[in-house]
Amino acid sequence: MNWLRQLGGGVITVVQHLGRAGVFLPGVMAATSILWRRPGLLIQQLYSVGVMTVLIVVVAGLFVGMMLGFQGYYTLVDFGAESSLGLAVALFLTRELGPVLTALLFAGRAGSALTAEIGLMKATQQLEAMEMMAVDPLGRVIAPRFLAGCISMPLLAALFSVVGLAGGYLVGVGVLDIDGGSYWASMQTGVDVYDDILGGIIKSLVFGFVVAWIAVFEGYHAESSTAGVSRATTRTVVTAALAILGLDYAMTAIMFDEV
Amino acid sequence: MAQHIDPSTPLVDVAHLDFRYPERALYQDLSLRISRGKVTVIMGPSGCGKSTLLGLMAGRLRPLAGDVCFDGVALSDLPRKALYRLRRRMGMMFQNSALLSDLDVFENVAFPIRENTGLPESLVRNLVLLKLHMVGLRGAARLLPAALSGGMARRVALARALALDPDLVMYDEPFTGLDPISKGVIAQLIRELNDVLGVTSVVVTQDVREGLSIADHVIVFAEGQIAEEGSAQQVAVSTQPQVRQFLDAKPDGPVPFHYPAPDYQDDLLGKYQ
Repeated sequence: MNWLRQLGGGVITVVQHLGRAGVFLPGVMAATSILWRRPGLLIQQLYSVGVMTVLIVVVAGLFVGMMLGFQGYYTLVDFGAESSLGLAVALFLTRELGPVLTALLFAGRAGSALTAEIGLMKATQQLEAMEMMAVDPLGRVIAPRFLAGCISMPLLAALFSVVGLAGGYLVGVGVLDIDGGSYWASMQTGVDVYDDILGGIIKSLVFGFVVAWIAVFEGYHAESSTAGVSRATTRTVVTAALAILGLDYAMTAIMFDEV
Repeated sequence: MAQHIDPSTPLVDVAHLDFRYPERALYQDLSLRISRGKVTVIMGPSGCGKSTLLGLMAGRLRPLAGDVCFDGVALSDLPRKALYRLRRRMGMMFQNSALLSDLDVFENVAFPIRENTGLPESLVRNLVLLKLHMVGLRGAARLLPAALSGGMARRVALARALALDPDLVMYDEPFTGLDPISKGVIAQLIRELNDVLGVTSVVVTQDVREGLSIADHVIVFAEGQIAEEGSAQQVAVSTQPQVRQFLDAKPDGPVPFHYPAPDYQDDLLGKYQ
Protein backbone atom coordinates (compact mmCIF):
# COMPACT_ATOMS: atom_id res chain seq x y z
CA MET A 1 0.00 0.00 0.00
CA ASN A 2 2.99 2.24 0.57
CA TRP A 3 3.80 2.43 -3.13
CA LEU A 4 0.19 3.37 -3.86
CA ARG A 5 0.40 6.19 -1.33
CA GLN A 6 3.67 7.40 -2.84
CA LEU A 7 2.19 7.24 -6.34
CA GLY A 8 -0.87 9.21 -5.21
CA GLY A 9 1.35 11.75 -3.45
CA GLY A 10 3.42 12.15 -6.60
CA VAL A 11 0.34 12.69 -8.75
CA ILE A 12 -1.04 15.26 -6.31
CA THR A 13 2.29 17.13 -6.34
CA VAL A 14 2.34 17.23 -10.15
CA VAL A 15 -1.27 18.42 -10.32
CA GLN A 16 -0.59 21.10 -7.69
CA HIS A 17 2.47 22.23 -9.65
CA LEU A 18 0.45 22.44 -12.88
CA GLY A 19 -2.29 24.33 -11.06
CA ARG A 20 0.19 26.87 -9.67
CA ALA A 21 1.75 27.29 -13.12
CA GLY A 22 -1.71 27.83 -14.59
CA VAL A 23 -2.59 30.48 -12.03
CA PHE A 24 0.83 32.12 -12.45
CA LEU A 25 0.53 32.59 -16.24
CA PRO A 26 -2.38 35.10 -16.39
CA GLY A 27 -0.61 37.24 -13.79
CA VAL A 28 2.53 37.32 -15.93
CA MET A 29 0.54 38.05 -19.09
CA ALA A 30 -1.25 40.93 -17.36
CA ALA A 31 2.05 42.26 -16.04
CA THR A 32 3.50 42.49 -19.57
CA SER A 33 1.46 45.69 -20.00
CA ILE A 34 4.32 47.51 -18.22
CA LEU A 35 6.47 46.89 -21.32
CA TRP A 36 4.40 49.31 -23.43
CA ARG A 37 5.46 52.05 -21.04
CA ARG A 38 8.99 50.78 -20.52
CA PRO A 39 10.23 48.97 -23.63
CA GLY A 40 13.80 49.32 -22.36
CA LEU A 41 13.17 46.48 -19.90
CA LEU A 42 12.25 44.17 -22.79
CA ILE A 43 15.17 45.24 -24.98
CA GLN A 44 17.59 44.51 -22.14
CA GLN A 45 16.18 40.99 -21.79
CA LEU A 46 16.06 40.41 -25.55
CA TYR A 47 19.79 40.93 -25.43
CA SER A 48 20.54 38.58 -22.54
CA VAL A 49 17.97 35.93 -23.49
CA GLY A 50 18.11 36.12 -27.29
CA VAL A 51 21.37 37.66 -28.47
CA MET A 52 23.46 35.73 -25.95
CA THR A 53 22.01 32.48 -27.33
CA VAL A 54 22.86 33.31 -30.95
CA LEU A 55 26.37 31.81 -30.91
CA ILE A 56 25.33 28.38 -29.63
CA VAL A 57 22.42 28.29 -32.10
CA VAL A 58 24.64 29.25 -35.05
CA VAL A 59 27.32 26.67 -34.20
CA ALA A 60 24.75 23.92 -33.56
CA GLY A 61 22.80 24.85 -36.71
CA LEU A 62 25.95 24.66 -38.82
CA PHE A 63 26.92 21.23 -37.51
CA VAL A 64 23.40 19.85 -37.83
CA GLY A 65 23.14 21.17 -41.41
CA MET A 66 26.48 19.61 -42.30
CA MET A 67 25.43 16.31 -40.74
CA LEU A 68 22.18 16.42 -42.71
CA GLY A 69 24.21 17.08 -45.86
CA PHE A 70 26.14 13.84 -45.41
CA GLN A 71 23.20 11.73 -44.21
CA GLY A 72 20.89 13.04 -46.90
CA TYR A 73 23.42 12.55 -49.67
CA TYR A 74 24.24 8.92 -48.80
CA THR A 75 20.54 8.07 -48.51
CA LEU A 76 19.51 9.83 -51.74
CA VAL A 77 22.46 8.74 -53.86
CA ASP A 78 21.24 5.12 -53.78
CA PHE A 79 18.12 6.29 -55.61
CA GLY A 80 20.01 8.64 -57.91
CA ALA A 81 18.19 11.54 -56.27
CA GLU A 82 21.17 13.38 -54.75
CA SER A 83 20.11 16.53 -56.60
CA SER A 84 17.20 16.70 -54.12
CA LEU A 85 19.60 17.11 -51.19
CA GLY A 86 18.63 20.76 -50.75
CA LEU A 87 14.97 19.80 -50.45
CA ALA A 88 15.68 17.05 -47.91
CA VAL A 89 17.84 19.31 -45.74
CA ALA A 90 15.31 22.15 -45.93
CA LEU A 91 12.35 19.95 -44.98
CA PHE A 92 14.20 18.39 -42.06
CA LEU A 93 15.24 21.80 -40.79
CA THR A 94 12.08 23.84 -41.28
CA ARG A 95 9.61 21.19 -40.17
CA GLU A 96 11.41 19.51 -37.29
CA LEU A 97 15.04 20.01 -36.45
CA GLY A 98 15.05 23.81 -36.58
CA PRO A 99 12.27 24.41 -34.05
CA VAL A 100 12.93 21.33 -31.88
CA LEU A 101 16.71 21.52 -31.54
CA THR A 102 16.65 25.30 -31.12
CA ALA A 103 14.05 24.93 -28.39
CA LEU A 104 16.15 22.27 -26.63
CA LEU A 105 19.24 24.48 -26.87
CA PHE A 106 17.19 27.48 -25.79
CA ALA A 107 15.90 25.61 -22.73
CA GLY A 108 19.43 24.55 -21.82
CA ARG A 109 21.08 27.93 -22.33
CA ALA A 110 18.47 30.66 -21.78
CA GLY A 111 15.79 28.74 -19.83
CA SER A 112 18.18 27.48 -17.17
CA ALA A 113 19.82 30.91 -16.90
CA LEU A 114 16.42 32.57 -16.42
CA THR A 115 15.40 30.13 -13.70
CA ALA A 116 18.73 30.43 -11.89
CA GLU A 117 18.70 34.23 -12.09
CA ILE A 118 15.13 34.59 -10.82
CA GLY A 119 15.62 31.85 -8.21
CA LEU A 120 18.74 33.55 -6.85
CA MET A 121 16.97 36.89 -6.77
CA LYS A 122 14.31 35.22 -4.68
CA ALA A 123 16.80 33.42 -2.42
CA THR A 124 18.67 36.66 -1.74
CA GLN A 125 15.39 38.48 -0.97
CA GLN A 126 15.76 40.82 -3.97
CA LEU A 127 12.20 40.10 -5.11
CA GLU A 128 10.93 40.67 -1.58
CA ALA A 129 12.87 43.94 -1.44
CA MET A 130 11.20 45.06 -4.68
CA GLU A 131 7.78 44.35 -3.20
CA MET A 132 8.76 46.43 -0.17
CA MET A 133 9.77 49.26 -2.52
CA ALA A 134 6.25 49.14 -4.00
CA VAL A 135 7.58 47.57 -7.20
CA ASP A 136 5.77 44.52 -8.56
CA PRO A 137 8.40 41.86 -9.38
CA LEU A 138 6.01 40.23 -11.85
CA GLY A 139 6.11 43.36 -14.01
CA ARG A 140 9.69 44.46 -13.36
CA VAL A 141 11.46 41.08 -13.44
CA ILE A 142 9.25 38.27 -14.74
CA ALA A 143 7.24 39.83 -17.59
CA PRO A 144 10.22 41.19 -19.60
CA ARG A 145 12.05 37.86 -19.32
CA PHE A 146 8.96 35.89 -20.30
CA LEU A 147 8.20 38.04 -23.34
CA ALA A 148 11.85 38.13 -24.40
CA GLY A 149 11.81 34.31 -24.39
CA CYS A 150 8.61 34.21 -26.47
CA ILE A 151 10.05 36.64 -29.06
CA SER A 152 13.60 35.26 -29.20
CA MET A 153 12.78 31.61 -29.72
CA PRO A 154 11.15 31.83 -33.21
CA LEU A 155 13.91 34.16 -34.42
CA LEU A 156 16.59 31.80 -33.14
CA ALA A 157 14.82 28.84 -34.78
CA ALA A 158 14.78 30.71 -38.09
CA LEU A 159 18.47 31.47 -37.70
CA PHE A 160 19.17 27.81 -36.90
CA SER A 161 17.41 26.70 -40.09
CA VAL A 162 19.17 29.27 -42.28
CA VAL A 163 22.61 28.39 -40.92
CA GLY A 164 21.71 24.68 -41.21
CA LEU A 165 20.87 25.15 -44.91
CA ALA A 166 24.26 26.81 -45.38
CA GLY A 167 25.89 23.86 -43.57
CA GLY A 168 24.11 21.41 -45.87
CA TYR A 169 25.28 23.45 -48.87
CA LEU A 170 28.89 23.44 -47.64
CA VAL A 171 28.92 19.64 -47.40
CA GLY A 172 26.70 18.88 -50.39
CA VAL A 173 28.26 21.28 -52.85
CA GLY A 174 31.68 21.88 -51.33
CA VAL A 175 32.58 18.33 -50.25
CA LEU A 176 30.27 15.91 -52.10
CA ASP A 177 30.28 17.90 -55.29
CA ILE A 178 26.59 18.05 -56.12
CA ASP A 179 25.36 20.90 -58.28
CA GLY A 180 24.86 24.14 -56.36
CA GLY A 181 21.98 25.25 -58.59
CA SER A 182 20.00 22.06 -58.04
CA TYR A 183 20.58 22.32 -54.26
CA TRP A 184 18.66 25.61 -54.16
CA ALA A 185 16.25 24.80 -57.03
CA SER A 186 14.96 21.58 -55.42
CA MET A 187 14.37 23.55 -52.25
CA GLN A 188 12.50 26.28 -54.09
CA THR A 189 10.16 23.86 -55.83
CA GLY A 190 9.62 21.43 -52.92
CA VAL A 191 9.27 23.57 -49.82
CA ASP A 192 5.76 24.84 -49.19
CA VAL A 193 5.44 28.15 -47.39
CA TYR A 194 2.32 27.17 -45.46
CA ASP A 195 2.83 23.47 -44.77
CA ASP A 196 6.54 23.56 -44.05
CA ILE A 197 7.73 27.04 -43.13
CA LEU A 198 4.58 28.26 -41.37
CA GLY A 199 4.31 24.91 -39.55
CA GLY A 200 7.86 25.37 -38.27
CA ILE A 201 7.16 28.94 -37.21
CA ILE A 202 4.05 27.86 -35.29
CA LYS A 203 6.06 25.16 -33.53
CA SER A 204 8.83 27.54 -32.57
CA LEU A 205 6.29 30.08 -31.26
CA VAL A 206 4.67 27.41 -29.08
CA PHE A 207 8.04 26.12 -27.86
CA GLY A 208 9.21 29.64 -27.04
CA PHE A 209 6.05 30.31 -25.05
CA VAL A 210 6.28 27.03 -23.14
CA VAL A 211 10.02 27.21 -22.38
CA ALA A 212 9.77 30.83 -21.20
CA TRP A 213 6.72 29.99 -19.07
CA ILE A 214 8.41 27.00 -17.44
CA ALA A 215 11.66 28.93 -16.86
CA VAL A 216 10.11 31.96 -15.16
CA PHE A 217 7.63 29.84 -13.19
CA GLU A 218 10.31 27.53 -11.81
CA GLY A 219 12.53 30.49 -10.91
CA TYR A 220 9.74 32.42 -9.21
CA HIS A 221 8.61 29.38 -7.22
CA ALA A 222 12.08 28.04 -6.41
CA GLU A 223 12.82 27.21 -2.80
CA SER A 224 14.86 30.02 -1.27
CA SER A 225 18.07 28.04 -0.87
CA THR A 226 21.07 26.99 -2.94
CA ALA A 227 19.69 23.47 -3.28
CA GLY A 228 16.25 24.87 -4.14
CA VAL A 229 17.61 27.00 -6.98
CA SER A 230 19.66 24.06 -8.25
CA ARG A 231 16.58 21.80 -8.24
CA ALA A 232 14.48 24.44 -9.99
CA THR A 233 17.10 24.87 -12.72
CA THR A 234 17.23 21.13 -13.32
CA ARG A 235 13.43 20.96 -13.39
CA THR A 236 13.33 23.72 -16.01
CA VAL A 237 15.64 21.86 -18.38
CA VAL A 238 13.99 18.45 -17.88
CA THR A 239 10.38 19.67 -17.97
CA ALA A 240 11.01 21.96 -20.92
CA ALA A 241 12.76 19.21 -22.91
CA LEU A 242 9.92 16.74 -22.31
CA ALA A 243 7.30 19.39 -23.06
CA ILE A 244 9.06 20.31 -26.33
CA LEU A 245 9.23 16.71 -27.52
CA GLY A 246 5.67 15.91 -26.45
CA LEU A 247 4.24 19.04 -28.03
CA ASP A 248 6.28 18.46 -31.17
CA TYR A 249 4.70 15.06 -31.59
CA ALA A 250 1.21 16.44 -30.94
CA MET A 251 1.62 19.37 -33.33
CA THR A 252 3.18 17.22 -36.04
CA ALA A 253 0.27 14.79 -35.80
CA ILE A 254 -2.25 17.64 -36.05
CA MET A 255 -0.45 19.34 -38.94
CA PHE A 256 -0.10 16.18 -41.01
CA ASP A 257 -3.66 15.26 -40.27
CA GLU A 258 -4.72 18.58 -41.78
CA VAL A 259 -2.51 18.02 -44.81
CA MET B 1 6.67 62.80 4.94
CA ALA B 2 3.01 62.79 5.94
CA GLN B 3 1.75 65.14 8.63
CA HIS B 4 -0.27 63.23 11.19
CA ILE B 5 -3.22 64.58 13.06
CA ASP B 6 -2.61 62.94 16.40
CA PRO B 7 0.98 62.03 17.26
CA SER B 8 -0.16 60.01 20.26
CA THR B 9 -1.89 57.40 18.07
CA PRO B 10 0.35 54.46 17.14
CA LEU B 11 1.73 54.34 13.61
CA VAL B 12 1.36 50.55 13.56
CA ASP B 13 -1.32 48.82 15.55
CA VAL B 14 -1.24 45.02 15.72
CA ALA B 15 -4.51 43.76 17.17
CA HIS B 16 -5.39 40.18 18.22
CA LEU B 17 -3.20 38.66 15.56
CA ASP B 18 -3.21 34.93 14.80
CA PHE B 19 -0.65 33.58 12.41
CA ARG B 20 0.77 30.15 11.68
CA TYR B 21 2.97 28.45 9.15
CA PRO B 22 1.77 25.07 7.87
CA GLU B 23 4.21 23.28 10.17
CA ARG B 24 3.78 25.36 13.35
CA ALA B 25 1.71 28.03 15.04
CA LEU B 26 3.50 31.33 15.60
CA TYR B 27 1.18 33.92 17.13
CA GLN B 28 -2.09 33.64 18.97
CA ASP B 29 -3.95 36.78 19.92
CA LEU B 30 -0.88 38.98 19.66
CA SER B 31 -1.37 42.71 20.17
CA LEU B 32 1.22 45.47 20.17
CA ARG B 33 1.63 49.10 19.14
CA ILE B 34 4.47 50.94 17.49
CA SER B 35 4.64 54.56 18.64
CA ARG B 36 5.37 57.33 16.16
CA GLY B 37 8.84 58.82 16.06
CA LYS B 38 10.31 56.18 18.37
CA VAL B 39 12.80 53.37 17.91
CA THR B 40 11.04 50.15 18.90
CA VAL B 41 13.35 47.18 19.27
CA ILE B 42 11.85 43.70 19.04
CA MET B 43 14.06 40.97 20.48
CA GLY B 44 13.76 37.26 21.02
CA PRO B 45 15.43 33.93 20.27
CA SER B 46 15.79 32.53 16.76
CA GLY B 47 12.59 31.21 15.24
CA CYS B 48 10.25 33.10 17.57
CA GLY B 49 8.76 34.95 14.59
CA LYS B 50 10.34 38.40 14.79
CA SER B 51 10.97 38.68 11.05
CA THR B 52 7.53 37.24 10.34
CA LEU B 53 6.08 40.11 12.35
CA LEU B 54 7.79 42.56 9.98
CA GLY B 55 6.25 40.68 7.05
CA LEU B 56 2.84 41.08 8.66
CA MET B 57 3.43 44.77 9.36
CA ALA B 58 4.35 45.32 5.71
CA GLY B 59 1.28 43.41 4.50
CA ARG B 60 3.44 40.78 2.78
CA LEU B 61 1.89 38.06 4.95
CA ARG B 62 -1.79 37.80 5.77
CA PRO B 63 -2.86 36.92 9.32
CA LEU B 64 -5.38 34.15 10.01
CA ALA B 65 -7.23 36.41 12.41
CA GLY B 66 -6.83 39.90 13.78
CA ASP B 67 -5.30 42.72 11.80
CA VAL B 68 -2.39 45.09 11.38
CA CYS B 69 -3.25 48.75 10.92
CA PHE B 70 -0.75 51.16 9.42
CA ASP B 71 -1.62 54.75 10.21
CA GLY B 72 -5.23 53.69 10.77
CA VAL B 73 -5.50 51.62 7.57
CA ALA B 74 -6.12 47.88 8.01
CA LEU B 75 -3.75 45.93 5.76
CA SER B 76 -5.53 42.57 5.56
CA ASP B 77 -8.20 43.40 3.05
CA LEU B 78 -6.35 46.11 1.20
CA PRO B 79 -6.25 45.64 -2.60
CA ARG B 80 -2.81 45.14 -4.11
CA LYS B 81 -2.57 48.62 -5.62
CA ALA B 82 -3.55 50.35 -2.39
CA LEU B 83 -1.09 48.17 -0.48
CA TYR B 84 1.72 49.13 -2.85
CA ARG B 85 0.77 52.81 -2.46
CA LEU B 86 1.02 52.39 1.30
CA ARG B 87 4.39 50.68 1.00
CA ARG B 88 5.83 53.85 -0.46
CA ARG B 89 5.55 55.11 3.12
CA MET B 90 7.53 52.14 4.45
CA GLY B 91 11.19 51.28 4.09
CA MET B 92 12.81 48.00 4.92
CA MET B 93 16.38 46.98 5.47
CA PHE B 94 16.81 43.24 5.00
CA GLN B 95 19.07 40.94 6.96
CA ASN B 96 21.25 40.17 3.93
CA SER B 97 20.82 43.69 2.52
CA ALA B 98 18.95 42.34 -0.57
CA LEU B 99 20.69 44.79 -2.89
CA LEU B 100 19.95 44.25 -6.57
CA SER B 101 23.13 42.49 -7.61
CA ASP B 102 23.26 43.75 -11.22
CA LEU B 103 22.95 47.43 -10.22
CA ASP B 104 25.67 49.55 -8.62
CA VAL B 105 25.24 51.35 -5.30
CA PHE B 106 23.90 54.53 -6.91
CA GLU B 107 21.34 52.66 -9.03
CA ASN B 108 20.24 50.57 -6.05
CA VAL B 109 19.37 53.68 -4.07
CA ALA B 110 17.86 55.33 -7.16
CA PHE B 111 15.73 52.25 -7.88
CA PRO B 112 12.72 53.01 -5.62
CA ILE B 113 12.81 56.69 -6.64
CA ARG B 114 12.87 55.94 -10.36
CA GLU B 115 10.21 53.24 -10.08
CA ASN B 116 7.78 55.23 -7.97
CA THR B 117 8.23 58.85 -8.99
CA GLY B 118 8.55 60.73 -12.23
CA LEU B 119 11.30 62.98 -10.90
CA PRO B 120 13.78 64.41 -13.41
CA GLU B 121 17.19 62.76 -13.57
CA SER B 122 19.05 65.72 -12.01
CA LEU B 123 16.79 65.58 -8.95
CA VAL B 124 17.10 61.80 -8.68
CA ARG B 125 20.88 62.21 -8.72
CA ASN B 126 20.82 64.81 -5.95
CA LEU B 127 18.44 62.73 -3.83
CA VAL B 128 20.57 59.61 -4.18
CA LEU B 129 23.77 61.49 -3.33
CA LEU B 130 22.01 62.99 -0.30
CA LYS B 131 20.94 59.55 0.96
CA LEU B 132 24.36 58.05 0.31
CA HIS B 133 26.04 60.96 2.07
CA MET B 134 23.84 60.37 5.12
CA VAL B 135 25.22 56.84 5.43
CA GLY B 136 28.77 57.90 4.53
CA LEU B 137 28.95 56.09 1.19
CA ARG B 138 28.72 58.85 -1.41
CA GLY B 139 32.21 57.89 -2.52
CA ALA B 140 31.13 54.29 -3.13
CA ALA B 141 28.31 55.23 -5.51
CA ARG B 142 29.72 53.38 -8.50
CA LEU B 143 30.71 50.17 -6.74
CA LEU B 144 28.78 46.98 -7.39
CA PRO B 145 27.21 45.18 -4.39
CA ALA B 146 29.74 42.34 -4.76
CA ALA B 147 32.55 44.81 -4.00
CA LEU B 148 31.02 45.96 -0.69
CA SER B 149 31.78 44.68 2.80
CA GLY B 150 28.85 43.43 4.92
CA GLY B 151 28.67 46.69 6.84
CA MET B 152 28.78 48.83 3.69
CA ALA B 153 26.06 46.73 2.06
CA ARG B 154 23.83 47.28 5.11
CA ARG B 155 24.44 51.01 4.90
CA VAL B 156 23.49 51.04 1.22
CA ALA B 157 20.38 49.06 2.09
CA LEU B 158 19.62 51.66 4.76
CA ALA B 159 20.04 54.50 2.25
CA ARG B 160 17.73 52.66 -0.13
CA ALA B 161 15.16 52.08 2.64
CA LEU B 162 15.16 55.84 3.26
CA ALA B 163 15.06 56.77 -0.44
CA LEU B 164 11.36 57.61 -0.53
CA ASP B 165 11.42 59.40 2.85
CA PRO B 166 9.20 56.81 4.53
CA ASP B 167 7.23 57.21 7.75
CA LEU B 168 8.19 53.74 8.96
CA VAL B 169 11.56 52.05 8.58
CA MET B 170 11.83 48.36 9.44
CA TYR B 171 15.18 46.75 10.14
CA ASP B 172 15.42 42.97 9.94
CA GLU B 173 18.46 41.81 11.97
CA PRO B 174 20.59 44.86 11.06
CA PHE B 175 23.57 43.76 13.20
CA THR B 176 23.82 40.07 12.28
CA GLY B 177 27.18 39.03 10.85
CA LEU B 178 28.84 42.42 11.27
CA ASP B 179 32.12 43.28 13.00
CA PRO B 180 31.89 45.45 16.15
CA ILE B 181 32.80 48.67 14.29
CA SER B 182 30.12 48.12 11.64
CA LYS B 183 27.59 47.21 14.35
CA GLY B 184 28.33 50.49 16.08
CA VAL B 185 28.01 52.43 12.82
CA ILE B 186 24.65 50.85 11.98
CA ALA B 187 23.33 51.36 15.53
CA GLN B 188 24.36 55.01 15.47
CA LEU B 189 22.81 55.53 12.03
CA ILE B 190 19.51 53.97 13.07
CA ARG B 191 19.31 56.21 16.12
CA GLU B 192 20.44 59.41 14.43
CA LEU B 193 18.38 59.02 11.27
CA ASN B 194 15.32 58.25 13.37
CA ASP B 195 15.78 61.48 15.33
CA VAL B 196 16.91 63.72 12.47
CA LEU B 197 14.36 62.56 9.90
CA GLY B 198 11.54 62.04 12.39
CA VAL B 199 10.76 58.55 11.14
CA THR B 200 9.41 55.63 13.15
CA SER B 201 11.81 52.70 13.42
CA VAL B 202 11.16 49.04 14.17
CA VAL B 203 14.32 47.03 14.73
CA VAL B 204 14.17 43.25 14.92
CA THR B 205 17.37 41.90 16.44
CA GLN B 206 19.03 39.28 18.60
CA ASP B 207 21.89 41.58 19.55
CA VAL B 208 21.05 42.58 23.09
CA ARG B 209 23.73 45.26 23.58
CA GLU B 210 23.13 47.16 20.33
CA GLY B 211 19.38 46.68 20.58
CA LEU B 212 19.10 48.10 24.08
CA SER B 213 21.51 50.95 23.29
CA ILE B 214 19.27 52.50 20.63
CA ALA B 215 15.79 51.60 21.88
CA ASP B 216 13.09 53.93 23.09
CA HIS B 217 10.86 50.92 23.59
CA VAL B 218 11.78 47.23 23.81
CA ILE B 219 9.56 44.22 23.21
CA VAL B 220 10.91 40.76 24.05
CA PHE B 221 9.22 37.78 22.44
CA ALA B 222 9.08 34.24 23.73
CA GLU B 223 6.96 31.40 22.37
CA GLY B 224 4.87 33.65 20.16
CA GLN B 225 3.91 35.97 22.99
CA ILE B 226 5.29 39.19 24.43
CA ALA B 227 7.31 38.14 27.47
CA GLU B 228 8.33 41.65 28.44
CA GLU B 229 8.06 45.20 27.17
CA GLY B 230 9.07 48.64 28.31
CA SER B 231 12.03 50.96 28.19
CA ALA B 232 15.53 49.53 27.76
CA GLN B 233 16.18 50.07 31.49
CA GLN B 234 12.98 48.30 32.52
CA VAL B 235 13.64 45.32 30.26
CA ALA B 236 17.28 45.07 31.35
CA VAL B 237 16.22 44.40 34.96
CA SER B 238 13.34 42.06 34.08
CA THR B 239 12.99 39.00 36.30
CA GLN B 240 11.01 36.98 33.75
CA PRO B 241 12.90 33.65 33.36
CA GLN B 242 12.55 33.63 29.56
CA VAL B 243 13.76 37.23 29.29
CA ARG B 244 16.66 36.61 31.68
CA GLN B 245 17.78 33.54 29.75
CA PHE B 246 17.79 35.58 26.54
CA LEU B 247 19.46 38.71 27.94
CA ASP B 248 22.08 36.75 29.92
CA ALA B 249 22.72 34.33 27.04
CA LYS B 250 22.18 31.23 29.24
CA PRO B 251 22.40 27.98 27.27
CA ASP B 252 19.68 26.24 29.30
CA GLY B 253 16.47 27.47 30.85
CA PRO B 254 12.89 27.91 29.64
CA VAL B 255 14.36 27.41 26.16
CA PRO B 256 15.95 23.97 26.72
CA PHE B 257 19.43 23.06 25.52
CA HIS B 258 18.25 19.63 24.39
CA TYR B 259 15.85 19.17 21.52
CA PRO B 260 12.97 16.95 22.75
CA ALA B 261 14.17 13.35 22.66
CA PRO B 262 13.24 9.99 24.20
CA ASP B 263 14.97 8.76 27.36
CA TYR B 264 18.77 8.79 26.88
CA GLN B 265 19.43 5.49 28.70
CA ASP B 266 16.68 3.69 26.79
CA ASP B 267 17.97 5.16 23.56
CA LEU B 268 21.50 3.88 24.25
CA LEU B 269 20.07 0.44 25.09
CA GLY B 270 18.47 0.41 21.67
CA LYS B 271 14.84 0.41 22.82
CA TYR B 272 13.78 2.81 20.08
CA GLN B 273 15.45 1.08 17.16
